[in-house]
Amino acid sequence: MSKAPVAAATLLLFAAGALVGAGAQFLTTASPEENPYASLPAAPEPQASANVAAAIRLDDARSLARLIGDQDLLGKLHSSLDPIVSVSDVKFLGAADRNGTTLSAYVVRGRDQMGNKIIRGFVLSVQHGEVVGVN
Amino acid sequence: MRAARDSLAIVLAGVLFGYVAAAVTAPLWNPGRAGSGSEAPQARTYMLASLKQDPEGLAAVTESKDVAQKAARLLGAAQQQQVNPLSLTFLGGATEGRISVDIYAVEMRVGANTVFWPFALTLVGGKVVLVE
Repeated sequence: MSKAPVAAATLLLFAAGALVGAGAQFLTTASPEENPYASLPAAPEPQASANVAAAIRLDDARSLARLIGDQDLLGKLHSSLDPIVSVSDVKFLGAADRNGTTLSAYVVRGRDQMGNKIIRGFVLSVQHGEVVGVN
Repeated sequence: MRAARDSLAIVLAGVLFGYVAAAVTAPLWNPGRAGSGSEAPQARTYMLASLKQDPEGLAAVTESKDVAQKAARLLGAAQQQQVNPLSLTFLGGATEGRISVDIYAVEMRVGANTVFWPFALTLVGGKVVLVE
């Protein structure tokens, strides 16, 4: 038997198996419950929150103090990052806008004091180009 | 006989490859509308139960609490001001080992006011352990 038909048959069998496997994965994975409410379209990342995220990523306390000039908001940001003491990455997840308020979501990866890998999420509320809330 | 055994091995290898590839790439083809990353079904269940003020639904996806905390949750739901959810938007999620974070934006009418509020859920092993 020549090699070409054998290779084609092997590829076909593998592809058929892969399709079955992908289908099995799809069927056995629980999908989220249907959302009965409206869902807002994605908004672009606001520059103000991007700057704050960059300051956290670079461990730049001076810039962070300038960007969030409010002791209360900085306290909330501290709570949102706790117990991370060493940030390895800050990633923008997504944003949504409603009536001039943009909620910009981030995830922070880092390590706690014991060196354990930790993941935390926080949301910056942006109005008129300024960060006005941290959650 | 040997040909059949080889064919079966190839199909099984394909099944395994397809299953793993689908699982790994799931976050790419199953994102929320506004967000990035895959959404944990338990996080969606928690948010819907929360908006519907369903304490039993919340209990199903929340880390087990003692009886006093369960009673406090029931009382809280009963006393909660009437809220009318307008929208629920998944902003995104990420996972690190057994810990995952899912973030939502909720728009709701509370009394005469409309509020637009974020919720960051932290899940460990599929149970909601922290809501901020």
